[in-house]
Amino acid sequence: MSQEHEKPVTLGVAPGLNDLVDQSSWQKIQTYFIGLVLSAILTVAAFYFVQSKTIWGPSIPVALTVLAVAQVGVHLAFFLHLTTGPDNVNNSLALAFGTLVVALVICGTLWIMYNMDQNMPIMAHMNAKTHSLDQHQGGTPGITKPVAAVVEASVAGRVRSISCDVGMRVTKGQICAVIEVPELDSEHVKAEKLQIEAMARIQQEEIALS
Amino acid sequence: MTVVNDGLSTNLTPVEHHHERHDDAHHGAGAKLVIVGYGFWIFLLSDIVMFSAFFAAHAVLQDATDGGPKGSELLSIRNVAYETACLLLSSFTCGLILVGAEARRMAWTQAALVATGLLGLTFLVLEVREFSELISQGAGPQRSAFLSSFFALVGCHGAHVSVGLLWLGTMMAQLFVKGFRDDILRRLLCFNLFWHMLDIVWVAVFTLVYLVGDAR
Repeated sequence: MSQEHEKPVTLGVAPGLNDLVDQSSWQKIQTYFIGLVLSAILTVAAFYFVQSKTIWGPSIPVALTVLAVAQVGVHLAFFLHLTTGPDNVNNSLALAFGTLVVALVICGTLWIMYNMDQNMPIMAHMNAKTHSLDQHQGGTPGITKPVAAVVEASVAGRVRSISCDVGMRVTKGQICAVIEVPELDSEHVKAEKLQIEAMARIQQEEIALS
Repeated sequence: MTVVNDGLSTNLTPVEHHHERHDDAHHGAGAKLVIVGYGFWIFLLSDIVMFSAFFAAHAVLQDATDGGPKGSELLSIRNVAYETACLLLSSFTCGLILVGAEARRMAWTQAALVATGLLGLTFLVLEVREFSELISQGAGPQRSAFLSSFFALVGCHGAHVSVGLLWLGTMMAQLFVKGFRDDILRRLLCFNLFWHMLDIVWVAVFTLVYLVGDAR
């Protein structure tokens, strides 16, 4: 046993391999078979709980999650032969780290997205709020701080660009859309034509002078 | 226990214990098996991290049906039960591949590979049939954010199974031509890990996507 202490590096056992050297093939198959039976029981239980009405409806997702976690445990123990033994430290530490990252990704996503969902009213809510606000503001003008605002065109014309969209956050005073007024547009074109004519005339005069 | 267990010796590793020094064992094929297996284990865990992003997206988007069909209206529990049975049984036969390889029995190992492949193929056929039915009903991935996330997650798992089947076919050919060489045994171990990982991901898929989706 002194050899045990002389070992410079412990690599441990490869993941997926059984560390019991002297097991017969039959014993190894038995391990896989136990895993199969346990997984089958857990799977059947999960499908049964969904189909039947034996457990209280809102608790079904919790029950299903428990069954799934148990089945993953069965797979790790009986199919991947993961143990808590010292030769499996590397494998189980890697697994623990993987589980941590998975938990961070899933819980973090759900947390952030729930928070955004709470702070971002969807269109249906916004319309409802605008209507109630219109009536409310009619009674006490200038006192209430608007919780929603209707943006209306200040001039008649054609929309040249829109820089807002449904669900987007905007700050107060931000430009949401630019409207072109066709009358002003045509005046601009006319003025440009006059300018070109004047330039041409100047050129003619210059040629005549020289 | 008279066997000196240096933590590496299993029947997959070449016989090199007892008389060899431990230092030598760490540079031998046994150490390589552990290192390759461990590296592949890390890859699989990172693959599961990638899957977790798909799961998170699906969890966020499962109610974003845009007035279209919900999961409980679309998904067939019977079909997913068959799929689950196929994959669970294939996980068992996949274990038999490794036992056969450790016993150096060619016929047994090949038979287990064939069984695993057929079960995997059945799973894939069931899944493709389900997808094509959904798409023909107008419930394709472009219908709603919920369906996009559904097809992305389940399709990503299906793509893994397809790659696994290609790998399995390759392993059958390699094992047949090259026999139980050290490198072939390492590949069989990695395939074994990959296939078991697919079943673990499927446990999460059928629970969270199909069963919880149906209960909602």
